[in-house]
Amino acid sequence: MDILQHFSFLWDSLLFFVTGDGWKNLVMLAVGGLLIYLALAKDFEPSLLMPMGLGAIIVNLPFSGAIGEAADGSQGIIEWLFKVGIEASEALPLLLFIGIGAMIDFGPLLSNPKMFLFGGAAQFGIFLTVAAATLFGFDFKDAAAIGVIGAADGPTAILVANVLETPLLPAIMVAAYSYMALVPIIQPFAIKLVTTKKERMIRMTYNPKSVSRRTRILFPIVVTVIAGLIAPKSVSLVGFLMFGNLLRECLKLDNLSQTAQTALANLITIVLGLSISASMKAEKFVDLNTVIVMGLGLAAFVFDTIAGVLFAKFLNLFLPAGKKFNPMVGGAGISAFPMSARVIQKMALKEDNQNHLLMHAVGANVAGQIGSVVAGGIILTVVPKLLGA
Amino acid sequence: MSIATQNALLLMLLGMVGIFAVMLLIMVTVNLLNKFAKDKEEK
Repeated sequence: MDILQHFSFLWDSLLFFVTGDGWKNLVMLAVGGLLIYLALAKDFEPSLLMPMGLGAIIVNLPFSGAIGEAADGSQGIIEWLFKVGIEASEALPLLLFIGIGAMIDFGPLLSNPKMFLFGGAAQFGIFLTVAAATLFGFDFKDAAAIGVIGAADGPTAILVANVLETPLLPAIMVAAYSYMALVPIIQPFAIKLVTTKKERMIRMTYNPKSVSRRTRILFPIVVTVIAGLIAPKSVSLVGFLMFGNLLRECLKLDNLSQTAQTALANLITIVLGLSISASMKAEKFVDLNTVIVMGLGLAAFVFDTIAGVLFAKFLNLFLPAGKKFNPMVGGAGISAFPMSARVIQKMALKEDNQNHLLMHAVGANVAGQIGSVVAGGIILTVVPKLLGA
Repeated sequence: MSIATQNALLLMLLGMVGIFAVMLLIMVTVNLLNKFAKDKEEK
Protein backbone atom coordinates (compact mmCIF):
# COMPACT_ATOMS: atom_id res chain seq x y z
CA MET A 1 0.00 0.00 0.00
CA ASP A 2 2.83 2.39 0.98
CA ILE A 3 4.66 1.66 -2.23
CA LEU A 4 1.53 2.41 -4.21
CA GLN A 5 1.12 5.70 -2.35
CA HIS A 6 4.68 6.72 -3.30
CA PHE A 7 3.94 5.96 -6.93
CA SER A 8 0.83 8.06 -6.60
CA PHE A 9 2.96 11.04 -5.49
CA LEU A 10 5.27 10.54 -8.44
CA TRP A 11 2.27 10.35 -10.74
CA ASP A 12 0.80 13.56 -9.24
CA SER A 13 4.12 15.35 -9.77
CA LEU A 14 4.40 14.25 -13.37
CA LEU A 15 0.78 15.19 -13.95
CA PHE A 16 1.48 18.64 -12.48
CA PHE A 17 3.87 19.46 -15.34
CA VAL A 18 1.34 18.73 -18.07
CA THR A 19 -1.74 20.33 -16.57
CA GLY A 20 -2.59 24.03 -16.33
CA ASP A 21 0.50 26.23 -15.97
CA GLY A 22 2.72 23.32 -14.97
CA TRP A 23 4.77 23.80 -18.15
CA LYS A 24 6.04 27.06 -16.65
CA ASN A 25 7.67 25.04 -13.87
CA LEU A 26 9.38 22.93 -16.51
CA VAL A 27 10.69 26.13 -18.09
CA MET A 28 12.03 27.22 -14.69
CA LEU A 29 13.79 23.89 -14.20
CA ALA A 30 15.48 24.54 -17.54
CA VAL A 31 16.34 28.12 -16.44
CA GLY A 32 17.85 26.71 -13.24
CA GLY A 33 19.90 24.27 -15.29
CA LEU A 34 21.02 27.08 -17.61
CA LEU A 35 22.15 29.22 -14.65
CA ILE A 36 24.17 26.31 -13.25
CA TYR A 37 25.68 25.73 -16.70
CA LEU A 38 26.61 29.40 -17.10
CA ALA A 39 28.09 29.45 -13.59
CA LEU A 40 30.13 26.29 -13.83
CA ALA A 41 30.94 25.89 -17.52
CA LYS A 42 31.22 29.56 -18.50
CA ASP A 43 32.42 30.94 -15.15
CA PHE A 44 29.67 33.62 -15.02
CA GLU A 45 29.49 34.81 -11.37
CA PRO A 46 29.53 31.17 -10.19
CA SER A 47 29.23 32.05 -6.52
CA LEU A 48 25.77 33.51 -7.10
CA LEU A 49 24.43 31.96 -10.26
CA MET A 50 25.07 28.40 -9.05
CA PRO A 51 23.05 28.75 -5.79
CA MET A 52 20.37 30.67 -7.70
CA GLY A 53 20.23 27.95 -10.35
CA LEU A 54 19.84 25.05 -7.93
CA GLY A 55 17.46 27.17 -5.83
CA ALA A 56 15.31 27.77 -8.93
CA ILE A 57 15.10 24.00 -9.42
CA ILE A 58 14.25 23.38 -5.75
CA VAL A 59 11.42 25.92 -5.60
CA ASN A 60 9.91 24.89 -8.93
CA LEU A 61 9.63 21.17 -8.30
CA PRO A 62 5.96 20.27 -7.88
CA PHE A 63 4.69 20.60 -4.28
CA SER A 64 8.15 21.81 -3.17
CA GLY A 65 8.61 21.74 0.60
CA ALA A 66 11.21 24.54 0.40
CA ILE A 67 8.53 27.17 -0.18
CA GLY A 68 5.01 27.78 1.05
CA GLU A 69 3.56 26.95 4.41
CA ALA A 70 3.12 23.47 5.87
CA ALA A 71 -0.03 22.36 7.70
CA ASP A 72 1.70 22.95 11.06
CA GLY A 73 2.39 26.58 10.13
CA SER A 74 6.12 26.16 9.49
CA GLN A 75 7.55 27.83 6.39
CA GLY A 76 9.67 26.28 3.67
CA ILE A 77 13.33 27.09 4.33
CA ILE A 78 14.00 29.04 1.14
CA GLU A 79 10.87 31.13 1.56
CA TRP A 80 11.79 31.76 5.20
CA LEU A 81 15.31 32.85 4.23
CA PHE A 82 13.87 35.23 1.65
CA LYS A 83 11.29 36.71 4.01
CA VAL A 84 13.67 37.18 6.92
CA GLY A 85 16.91 37.95 5.10
CA ILE A 86 15.67 40.09 2.22
CA GLU A 87 12.02 41.06 2.43
CA ALA A 88 11.80 42.00 6.11
CA SER A 89 15.09 43.82 6.60
CA GLU A 90 17.28 43.69 3.48
CA ALA A 91 19.81 42.23 5.90
CA LEU A 92 21.57 39.92 3.44
CA PRO A 93 22.46 42.48 0.73
CA LEU A 94 23.42 45.00 3.40
CA LEU A 95 25.66 42.58 5.28
CA LEU A 96 27.30 41.66 1.99
CA PHE A 97 28.22 45.33 1.64
CA ILE A 98 30.36 45.08 4.78
CA GLY A 99 32.40 42.38 3.08
CA ILE A 100 32.63 44.34 -0.19
CA GLY A 101 33.73 47.47 1.68
CA ALA A 102 36.44 45.49 3.48
CA MET A 103 37.70 44.15 0.14
CA ILE A 104 38.03 47.52 -1.61
CA ASP A 105 41.21 49.56 -1.55
CA PHE A 106 40.13 53.13 -2.25
CA GLY A 107 43.80 54.21 -2.47
CA PRO A 108 43.93 54.66 -6.28
CA LEU A 109 40.84 56.86 -6.04
CA LEU A 110 42.01 58.87 -3.04
CA SER A 111 45.32 59.63 -4.74
CA ASN A 112 43.49 60.77 -7.88
CA PRO A 113 40.15 62.26 -6.70
CA LYS A 114 39.18 63.49 -10.20
CA MET A 115 38.03 59.93 -10.85
CA PHE A 116 35.03 60.51 -8.57
CA LEU A 117 33.40 62.36 -11.47
CA PHE A 118 33.36 59.22 -13.61
CA GLY A 119 31.71 57.30 -10.78
CA GLY A 120 28.89 59.84 -11.06
CA ALA A 121 28.68 60.17 -14.84
CA ALA A 122 28.49 56.43 -15.48
CA GLN A 123 25.27 56.17 -13.46
CA PHE A 124 23.38 58.07 -16.17
CA GLY A 125 22.38 54.78 -17.81
CA ILE A 126 20.30 53.94 -14.73
CA PHE A 127 18.08 56.99 -15.17
CA LEU A 128 17.88 56.71 -18.96
CA THR A 129 16.73 53.11 -18.54
CA VAL A 130 14.06 54.18 -16.04
CA ALA A 131 12.68 56.52 -18.71
CA ALA A 132 12.92 53.80 -21.36
CA ALA A 133 11.10 51.32 -19.10
CA THR A 134 8.18 53.71 -18.66
CA LEU A 135 7.91 53.87 -22.47
CA PHE A 136 7.48 50.07 -22.41
CA GLY A 137 4.46 50.56 -20.15
CA PHE A 138 6.00 49.75 -16.75
CA ASP A 139 4.74 51.89 -13.89
CA PHE A 140 7.18 54.34 -12.34
CA LYS A 141 8.17 52.19 -9.36
CA ASP A 142 8.84 49.11 -11.48
CA ALA A 143 10.72 51.22 -14.03
CA ALA A 144 12.93 52.68 -11.27
CA ALA A 145 13.72 49.19 -10.00
CA ILE A 146 14.57 48.02 -13.53
CA GLY A 147 16.91 50.98 -14.03
CA VAL A 148 19.00 49.99 -11.03
CA ILE A 149 20.16 46.90 -12.95
CA GLY A 150 22.46 49.46 -14.60
CA ALA A 151 24.15 50.07 -11.27
CA ALA A 152 26.05 46.86 -12.07
CA ASP A 153 25.76 46.19 -8.39
CA GLY A 154 23.77 43.11 -7.36
CA PRO A 155 23.12 43.95 -3.69
CA THR A 156 21.97 47.49 -4.56
CA ALA A 157 19.65 46.15 -7.29
CA ILE A 158 18.14 43.64 -4.83
CA LEU A 159 17.70 46.21 -2.10
CA VAL A 160 16.11 48.88 -4.29
CA ALA A 161 13.79 46.41 -6.03
CA ASN A 162 12.72 44.99 -2.69
CA VAL A 163 12.10 48.35 -1.01
CA LEU A 164 10.09 49.50 -4.04
CA GLU A 165 8.10 46.26 -3.71
CA THR A 166 8.24 45.43 -7.40
CA PRO A 167 6.96 42.05 -8.56
CA LEU A 168 9.85 42.07 -11.05
CA LEU A 169 12.40 41.35 -8.31
CA PRO A 170 13.45 37.89 -9.59
CA ALA A 171 13.98 39.06 -13.17
CA ILE A 172 15.92 42.09 -11.94
CA MET A 173 18.19 39.95 -9.79
CA VAL A 174 18.92 37.45 -12.54
CA ALA A 175 19.59 40.29 -15.00
CA ALA A 176 21.84 42.17 -12.56
CA TYR A 177 24.07 39.20 -11.85
CA SER A 178 24.09 37.79 -15.37
CA TYR A 179 25.12 41.07 -16.95
CA MET A 180 27.80 41.69 -14.31
CA ALA A 181 29.34 38.48 -15.53
CA LEU A 182 29.03 39.71 -19.12
CA VAL A 183 30.92 42.97 -18.54
CA PRO A 184 33.94 41.70 -20.57
CA ILE A 185 31.63 41.32 -23.57
CA ILE A 186 29.25 44.27 -23.12
CA GLN A 187 31.77 47.00 -22.32
CA PRO A 188 34.19 46.61 -25.26
CA PHE A 189 31.20 46.64 -27.61
CA ALA A 190 29.74 49.80 -26.02
CA ILE A 191 33.09 51.60 -25.83
CA LYS A 192 33.95 50.90 -29.45
CA LEU A 193 30.58 52.32 -30.49
CA VAL A 194 31.53 55.80 -29.27
CA THR A 195 35.33 56.02 -29.51
CA THR A 196 37.89 56.13 -32.29
CA LYS A 197 41.09 54.10 -32.28
CA LYS A 198 43.04 57.33 -31.77
CA GLU A 199 41.00 58.13 -28.64
CA ARG A 200 41.50 54.62 -27.29
CA MET A 201 45.25 55.09 -27.68
CA ILE A 202 45.45 58.23 -25.51
CA ARG A 203 48.09 57.67 -22.86
CA MET A 204 47.67 58.84 -19.28
CA THR A 205 50.58 59.25 -16.93
CA TYR A 206 50.16 57.84 -13.46
CA ASN A 207 51.80 59.75 -10.63
CA PRO A 208 50.18 58.46 -7.49
CA LYS A 209 50.36 60.72 -4.47
CA SER A 210 50.79 59.03 -1.14
CA VAL A 211 47.58 58.84 0.87
CA SER A 212 47.89 59.26 4.62
CA ARG A 213 46.37 56.77 7.05
CA ARG A 214 44.28 59.61 8.50
CA THR A 215 42.76 60.27 5.09
CA ARG A 216 42.03 56.58 4.60
CA ILE A 217 40.30 56.44 8.00
CA LEU A 218 38.40 59.71 7.64
CA PHE A 219 37.26 58.94 4.08
CA PRO A 220 34.62 56.29 4.91
CA ILE A 221 33.25 58.45 7.72
CA VAL A 222 33.04 61.55 5.51
CA VAL A 223 31.40 59.65 2.63
CA THR A 224 28.78 58.21 4.99
CA VAL A 225 27.92 61.64 6.35
CA ILE A 226 27.79 63.39 2.96
CA ALA A 227 25.76 60.67 1.24
CA GLY A 228 23.50 60.38 4.29
CA LEU A 229 22.77 64.11 4.33
CA ILE A 230 22.04 64.41 0.61
CA ALA A 231 20.26 61.07 0.11
CA PRO A 232 19.14 59.83 3.55
CA LYS A 233 17.83 56.55 2.16
CA SER A 234 21.32 55.70 0.95
CA VAL A 235 22.77 55.80 4.43
CA SER A 236 22.34 52.10 5.18
CA LEU A 237 23.86 51.14 1.81
CA VAL A 238 26.73 53.60 1.99
CA GLY A 239 27.14 53.20 5.73
CA PHE A 240 27.58 49.42 5.60
CA LEU A 241 29.96 49.67 2.63
CA MET A 242 32.01 52.27 4.44
CA PHE A 243 31.87 50.36 7.74
CA GLY A 244 33.56 47.46 5.97
CA ASN A 245 36.15 49.81 4.55
CA LEU A 246 36.80 51.37 7.95
CA LEU A 247 37.40 47.87 9.37
CA ARG A 248 40.05 47.45 6.67
CA GLU A 249 41.72 50.83 6.93
CA CYS A 250 41.85 51.37 10.69
CA LEU A 251 44.54 48.62 10.96
CA LYS A 252 43.34 47.89 14.50
CA LEU A 253 40.76 45.25 13.62
CA ASP A 254 42.58 42.98 11.21
CA ASN A 255 40.73 39.88 12.40
CA LEU A 256 37.35 41.52 11.82
CA SER A 257 38.48 42.88 8.46
CA GLN A 258 39.66 39.45 7.33
CA THR A 259 36.44 37.85 8.59
CA ALA A 260 34.34 40.42 6.69
CA GLN A 261 36.32 39.85 3.49
CA THR A 262 36.20 36.08 3.64
CA ALA A 263 33.89 34.25 6.05
CA LEU A 264 31.12 36.87 6.22
CA ALA A 265 31.10 37.60 2.46
CA ASN A 266 31.17 33.89 1.61
CA LEU A 267 28.43 32.94 4.07
CA ILE A 268 26.15 35.72 2.92
CA THR A 269 26.81 34.90 -0.73
CA ILE A 270 25.80 31.27 -0.20
CA VAL A 271 22.59 32.18 1.60
CA LEU A 272 21.79 35.15 -0.67
CA GLY A 273 21.84 33.08 -3.85
CA LEU A 274 19.48 30.48 -2.38
CA SER A 275 17.22 33.13 -0.83
CA ILE A 276 16.85 34.96 -4.12
CA SER A 277 15.61 31.79 -5.75
CA ALA A 278 12.49 31.93 -3.55
CA SER A 279 11.27 34.68 -5.84
CA MET A 280 11.97 32.63 -8.98
CA LYS A 281 8.70 30.77 -8.85
CA ALA A 282 7.33 29.91 -12.26
CA GLU A 283 4.08 31.82 -11.93
CA LYS A 284 6.02 35.06 -11.34
CA PHE A 285 9.02 34.50 -13.58
CA VAL A 286 7.77 32.94 -16.82
CA ASP A 287 6.34 36.10 -18.28
CA LEU A 288 6.93 38.45 -21.21
CA ASN A 289 7.91 41.15 -18.71
CA THR A 290 10.94 39.07 -17.68
CA VAL A 291 12.20 39.14 -21.26
CA ILE A 292 11.67 42.91 -21.47
CA VAL A 293 13.42 43.43 -18.11
CA MET A 294 16.41 41.40 -19.35
CA GLY A 295 16.55 43.57 -22.50
CA LEU A 296 16.29 46.81 -20.54
CA GLY A 297 18.96 45.63 -18.12
CA LEU A 298 21.33 45.04 -21.00
CA ALA A 299 20.52 48.52 -22.34
CA ALA A 300 21.24 50.00 -18.90
CA PHE A 301 24.74 48.49 -18.88
CA VAL A 302 25.43 49.82 -22.38
CA PHE A 303 24.05 53.30 -21.55
CA ASP A 304 26.14 53.47 -18.35
CA THR A 305 29.33 52.65 -20.20
CA ILE A 306 28.59 55.07 -23.03
CA ALA A 307 27.70 57.85 -20.55
CA GLY A 308 31.04 57.44 -18.74
CA VAL A 309 32.98 57.46 -22.02
CA LEU A 310 31.14 60.49 -23.39
CA PHE A 311 31.69 62.38 -20.13
CA ALA A 312 35.44 61.78 -20.42
CA LYS A 313 35.31 63.04 -24.02
CA PHE A 314 33.42 66.12 -22.83
CA LEU A 315 36.06 66.87 -20.18
CA ASN A 316 38.77 66.44 -22.81
CA LEU A 317 37.34 69.45 -24.66
CA PHE A 318 38.65 71.64 -21.83
CA LEU A 319 41.93 69.87 -21.14
CA PRO A 320 45.28 70.60 -22.80
CA ALA A 321 47.09 67.92 -24.82
CA GLY A 322 49.00 65.61 -22.52
CA LYS A 323 46.42 66.01 -19.74
CA LYS A 324 43.51 64.44 -21.56
CA PHE A 325 41.66 61.39 -20.28
CA ASN A 326 41.58 58.20 -22.26
CA PRO A 327 37.77 58.06 -22.69
CA MET A 328 37.72 54.34 -21.96
CA VAL A 329 38.54 55.15 -18.33
CA GLY A 330 35.13 56.86 -18.07
CA GLY A 331 33.50 53.56 -18.99
CA ALA A 332 35.06 51.99 -15.89
CA GLY A 333 32.91 54.24 -13.68
CA ILE A 334 30.41 51.43 -13.13
CA SER A 335 30.26 49.27 -10.06
CA ALA A 336 31.40 45.94 -11.52
CA PHE A 337 34.70 45.83 -9.62
CA PRO A 338 37.36 44.87 -10.60
CA MET A 339 36.08 43.40 -13.87
CA SER A 340 35.46 46.73 -15.54
CA ALA A 341 38.92 48.08 -14.72
CA ARG A 342 40.50 44.90 -16.11
CA VAL A 343 38.47 45.20 -19.31
CA ILE A 344 39.72 48.77 -19.85
CA GLN A 345 43.32 47.75 -19.19
CA LYS A 346 43.01 44.89 -21.66
CA MET A 347 41.46 47.12 -24.32
CA ALA A 348 44.15 49.78 -23.84
CA LEU A 349 46.95 47.22 -24.20
CA LYS A 350 45.29 45.83 -27.31
CA GLU A 351 45.44 49.26 -28.97
CA ASP A 352 48.92 50.15 -27.67
CA ASN A 353 50.95 47.56 -25.78
CA GLN A 354 52.68 50.26 -23.73
CA ASN A 355 49.53 52.03 -22.56
CA HIS A 356 48.86 51.03 -18.94
CA LEU A 357 45.55 52.42 -17.75
CA LEU A 358 44.86 49.94 -14.97
CA MET A 359 45.30 52.24 -11.97
CA HIS A 360 43.25 55.05 -13.55
CA ALA A 361 40.54 52.55 -14.40
CA VAL A 362 40.64 51.09 -10.87
CA GLY A 363 40.15 54.62 -9.50
CA ALA A 364 37.10 55.17 -11.72
CA ASN A 365 35.83 51.68 -10.93
CA VAL A 366 35.85 52.11 -7.14
CA ALA A 367 34.26 55.54 -7.62
CA GLY A 368 31.56 53.66 -9.54
CA GLN A 369 31.05 51.48 -6.49
CA ILE A 370 30.23 54.57 -4.45
CA GLY A 371 28.26 56.15 -7.32
CA SER A 372 26.01 53.13 -7.77
CA VAL A 373 25.20 52.95 -4.07
CA VAL A 374 24.44 56.68 -4.00
CA ALA A 375 22.28 56.32 -7.13
CA GLY A 376 20.33 53.54 -5.42
CA GLY A 377 19.86 55.72 -2.36
CA ILE A 378 18.73 58.69 -4.45
CA ILE A 379 16.15 56.51 -6.20
CA LEU A 380 14.85 55.30 -2.84
CA THR A 381 14.65 58.90 -1.63
CA VAL A 382 13.16 60.55 -4.72
CA VAL A 383 10.75 57.92 -6.11
CA PRO A 384 8.39 57.84 -3.08
CA LYS A 385 8.41 61.66 -3.02
CA LEU A 386 7.49 61.91 -6.69
CA LEU A 387 4.70 59.41 -6.09
CA GLY A 388 3.49 61.47 -3.15
CA ALA A 389 3.97 58.60 -0.71
CA MET B 1 3.79 61.74 -22.48
CA SER B 2 2.61 59.56 -19.58
CA ILE B 3 2.92 60.65 -15.96
CA ALA B 4 5.34 57.76 -15.36
CA THR B 5 7.64 59.04 -18.13
CA GLN B 6 7.42 62.59 -16.80
CA ASN B 7 8.36 61.30 -13.35
CA ALA B 8 11.22 59.30 -14.89
CA LEU B 9 12.62 62.40 -16.61
CA LEU B 10 12.36 64.36 -13.37
CA LEU B 11 14.10 61.51 -11.55
CA MET B 12 16.85 61.63 -14.20
CA LEU B 13 17.39 65.32 -13.57
CA LEU B 14 17.28 65.10 -9.77
CA GLY B 15 19.29 61.88 -9.74
CA MET B 16 22.17 63.16 -11.85
CA VAL B 17 22.25 66.49 -9.96
CA GLY B 18 22.23 64.56 -6.68
CA ILE B 19 24.97 62.15 -7.70
CA PHE B 20 27.23 64.89 -8.99
CA ALA B 21 26.58 66.93 -5.85
CA VAL B 22 27.63 63.97 -3.68
CA MET B 23 30.64 63.10 -5.84
CA LEU B 24 31.84 66.71 -6.09
CA LEU B 25 31.51 67.20 -2.33
CA ILE B 26 33.42 63.99 -1.66
CA MET B 27 36.06 64.97 -4.23
CA VAL B 28 36.59 68.38 -2.62
CA THR B 29 36.70 66.79 0.83
CA VAL B 30 39.25 64.20 -0.27
CA ASN B 31 41.40 66.97 -1.76
CA LEU B 32 41.24 68.78 1.57
CA LEU B 33 42.02 65.59 3.47
CA ASN B 34 45.00 64.92 1.20
CA LYS B 35 46.23 68.42 1.92
CA PHE B 36 45.65 68.67 5.66
CA ALA B 37 45.16 65.19 7.14
CA LYS B 38 48.80 64.15 7.15
CA ASP B 39 50.11 61.42 9.41
CA LYS B 40 52.33 62.47 12.30
CA GLU B 41 55.56 61.22 10.74
CA GLU B 42 54.73 63.02 7.45
CA LYS B 43 54.34 66.32 9.34
